[in-house]
Amino acid sequence: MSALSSRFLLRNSVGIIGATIILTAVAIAVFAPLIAPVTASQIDLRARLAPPFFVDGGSIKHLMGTDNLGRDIFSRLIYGSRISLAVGTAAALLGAVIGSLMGILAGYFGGKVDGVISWFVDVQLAFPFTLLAIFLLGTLGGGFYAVVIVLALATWVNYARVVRAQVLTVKVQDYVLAARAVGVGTPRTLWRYIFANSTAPIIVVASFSTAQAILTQAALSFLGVGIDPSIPSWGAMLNDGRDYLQKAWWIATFPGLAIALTVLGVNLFGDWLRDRLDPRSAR
Amino acid sequence: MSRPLLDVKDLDVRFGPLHAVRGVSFSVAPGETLGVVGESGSGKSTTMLAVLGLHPKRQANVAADRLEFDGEDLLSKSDGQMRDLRGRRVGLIFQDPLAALNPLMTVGKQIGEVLIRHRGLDKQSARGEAVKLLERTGVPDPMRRASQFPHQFSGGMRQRVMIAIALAGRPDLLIADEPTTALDVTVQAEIVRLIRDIQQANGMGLVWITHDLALMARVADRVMVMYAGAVVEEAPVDRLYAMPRHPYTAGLLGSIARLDQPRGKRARAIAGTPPAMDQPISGCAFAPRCPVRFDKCAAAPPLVSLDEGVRAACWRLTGEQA
Amino acid sequence: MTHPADTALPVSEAVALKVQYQTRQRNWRGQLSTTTVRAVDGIDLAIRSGEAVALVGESGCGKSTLGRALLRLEHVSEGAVHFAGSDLTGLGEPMLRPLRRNMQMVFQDPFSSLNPRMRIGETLAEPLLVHGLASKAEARARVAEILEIVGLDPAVATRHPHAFSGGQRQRIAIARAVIARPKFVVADEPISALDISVQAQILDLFEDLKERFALTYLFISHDLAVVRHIADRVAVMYLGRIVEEGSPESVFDNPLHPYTQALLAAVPSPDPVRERSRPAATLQGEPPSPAATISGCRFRGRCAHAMPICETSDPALATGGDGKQAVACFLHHEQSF
Repeated sequence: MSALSSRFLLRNSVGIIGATIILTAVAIAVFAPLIAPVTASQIDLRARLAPPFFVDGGSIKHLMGTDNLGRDIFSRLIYGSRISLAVGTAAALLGAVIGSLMGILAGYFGGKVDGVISWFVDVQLAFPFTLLAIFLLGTLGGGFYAVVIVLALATWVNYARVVRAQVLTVKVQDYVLAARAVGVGTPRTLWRYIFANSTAPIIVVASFSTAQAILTQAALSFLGVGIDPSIPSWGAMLNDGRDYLQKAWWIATFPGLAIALTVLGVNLFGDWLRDRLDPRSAR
Repeated sequence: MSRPLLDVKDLDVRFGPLHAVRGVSFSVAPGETLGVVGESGSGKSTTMLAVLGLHPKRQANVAADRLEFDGEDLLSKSDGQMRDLRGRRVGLIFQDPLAALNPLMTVGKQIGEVLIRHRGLDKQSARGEAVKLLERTGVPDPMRRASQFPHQFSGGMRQRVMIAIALAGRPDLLIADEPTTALDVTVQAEIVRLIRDIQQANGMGLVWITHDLALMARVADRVMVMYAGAVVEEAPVDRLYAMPRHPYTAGLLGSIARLDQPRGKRARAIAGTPPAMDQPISGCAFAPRCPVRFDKCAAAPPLVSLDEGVRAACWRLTGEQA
Repeated sequence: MTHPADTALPVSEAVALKVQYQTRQRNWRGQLSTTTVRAVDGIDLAIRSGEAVALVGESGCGKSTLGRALLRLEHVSEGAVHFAGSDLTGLGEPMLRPLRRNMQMVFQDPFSSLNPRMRIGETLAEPLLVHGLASKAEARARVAEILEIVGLDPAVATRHPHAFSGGQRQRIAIARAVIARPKFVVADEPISALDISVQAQILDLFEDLKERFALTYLFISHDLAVVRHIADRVAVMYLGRIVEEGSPESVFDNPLHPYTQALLAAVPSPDPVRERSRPAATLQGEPPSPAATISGCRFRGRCAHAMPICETSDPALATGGDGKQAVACFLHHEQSF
């Protein structure tokens, strides 16, 4: 291997580790049926609360043990990645669309528009989000889409704030004034000149928001609102294991570790991305 | 002529693949002003920073056959010794005084710091001396100004503060890197006069780096023209402007707009742009833009003495006879 | 003043124009104070068809603001701005937009005036497409043509700005300004951010384009030597006001206003012999802040010839000398008092 490529690996190790974790998680979600030994909902009452294989009484048959209904934790974890990743990604994307739009409008037009949007941002930041989520899910009813919308509402603020700040610096650039001097209309200016030059922080915030959404979805499932608990998700599994923390610690521990590891991967990748994309965060 | 203050032979500076300075030789005598002119990327600032040991050692590879200040070899000096030399014996002024001044410290304190460190003054006398230096550099009301912060000064006044700091160690050599480029012409004229007055009073050597050929005519005794990391011509100021030898110098002088010439007298500009410095240059670096290039230019021309004090690197001046 | 185009309607005109900014600041006790910055403080200037007018002055004198105000890229506080016979003063951006094809601008810093996310071809086609002057295919041909005219390879149209040097970018910015064949171009310090040999190249380009397109333009610069070589008429600005105006020959060879004289005396010339015999510059101090309130002549604080009247009255721009130029100085209009 040449010196250059080993230096590349060293310099970008954080990003490479993050990307590896994310790609592994995505691969597991996509190929779940091929990887999981049994289906997620297969109940084996004879093997209730079996411990993981490395504990006395555990067996290779259930690598991470089973839960109170004898379902295989390892398989549930694999299938559960689908909901967790899907919710995380969808919420982060929807949040990005809403938040970027609001950020652009607030930053470009300023004045009253900025005032109203910034007021919403401040109110939301001051309001305990879990309370809002429980209230909204109570009125909207649960389900995948409802959870995605609620989580998008949790993350749009992040986007709105960084995009607004970015637009404030972009809109005073000469090329924006040049667009006006040429006679370019407002929608095109916003899209091709302002937004096109404000995307770097959006990508970075998206990675952090995905992590945030995965965690919040888990918390909501843990609280018993949101997605149907019979569908395996890491958050729901955490909830299931709550009552057995003393007797069978593995039910909650493995999904907890999965969440922690995935969030870590996304955060590492986001960190690396920020350093690569944003010259101002260069150390 | 007495021993030169600064004597540089065959200086080379590389930043990884970037070969920024390619075999530059020059000297500066006490009381003399050497003007260094060139475009951005010509290596004029890089050369001077290398002389002062200001390139980070990890990034820059500096080599020279000779690099002496007042007879002392600079290449063998430690970082600490170089720092001492810079504060005491060599002063430095930059284009952007705001970037070089500490925004959180009063101007008087910043000058005082240099005095305490390099002239061994105590706090009390450093303060008094700082005020004197401000007065000498033409800052009005120096007592009050000494207790103000850099942002309370205009561009021209800040540059005076920088000059005061540079003079605090009573240097034998002052290096001025585009000190008036950011200033208006009327302010520029005052700063030029100030630096020249100080030089005449204390006989220090002066290196003035600029891209402005008109300004150069005002400040320099001797001019060194740089192109693509090398010296292409060096001559006493009167000779250079009266009879530029190198086609680059001649092209520049002919194409710049002059206030003392009516419209239509200006020659067409030299076409093209300088070469990229991260590539090896074969032959004469100026040849691709040169109106008088010929087959010999495929080899790099040496810098040769033409007559008293004039050096140039062009085959047209030497090669046809050879 | 005699000028061949004197009788023609001005292309661009400022009438008693003022551009002011209010800045509000709270001090540490929370008291609100408002400062008014008078960037342009009462200017009359008419630019006629085919003319290259240069606006010179030191930083902060308001020359850039005036240039942008003529294109209505600035608000107008008082007075009026006319373009090709129509009054732009009260127009909002939607009303101005269709007029913009005929008035264009070149900025100082070519590193910030081109959208880094757009290809050169898109940037250049923008004026044509926005104003519906060409189809996409026609625009492509026009882009290739203009690139050739400004001295670039038409193949560069597919590349982004970061691939170009400062001089090349400025050529692109100039191409954008002239591609729709505007009636009027404002060039704001278009060469001062460039290297010396490139400055000369861009000056050459301006001269070529002026001939080729019969361009009318306002050239804003702090470099008097450059102005002498490209302008048909020169206006010298000081603190928001034009203090002297006339042909380059009259203004540069026979400056009347003490400020013009001081400015010219400070410009170095690439001639060491001449430089040595140059008298010491006469101008002391720095211009007052445009936020300060000044009574009488705004230059009197730095003027070697200040008289009692300069403290009480503000001199208007009026014909002075042998009638070839206009000057705002009481030394030269005895007839007015």
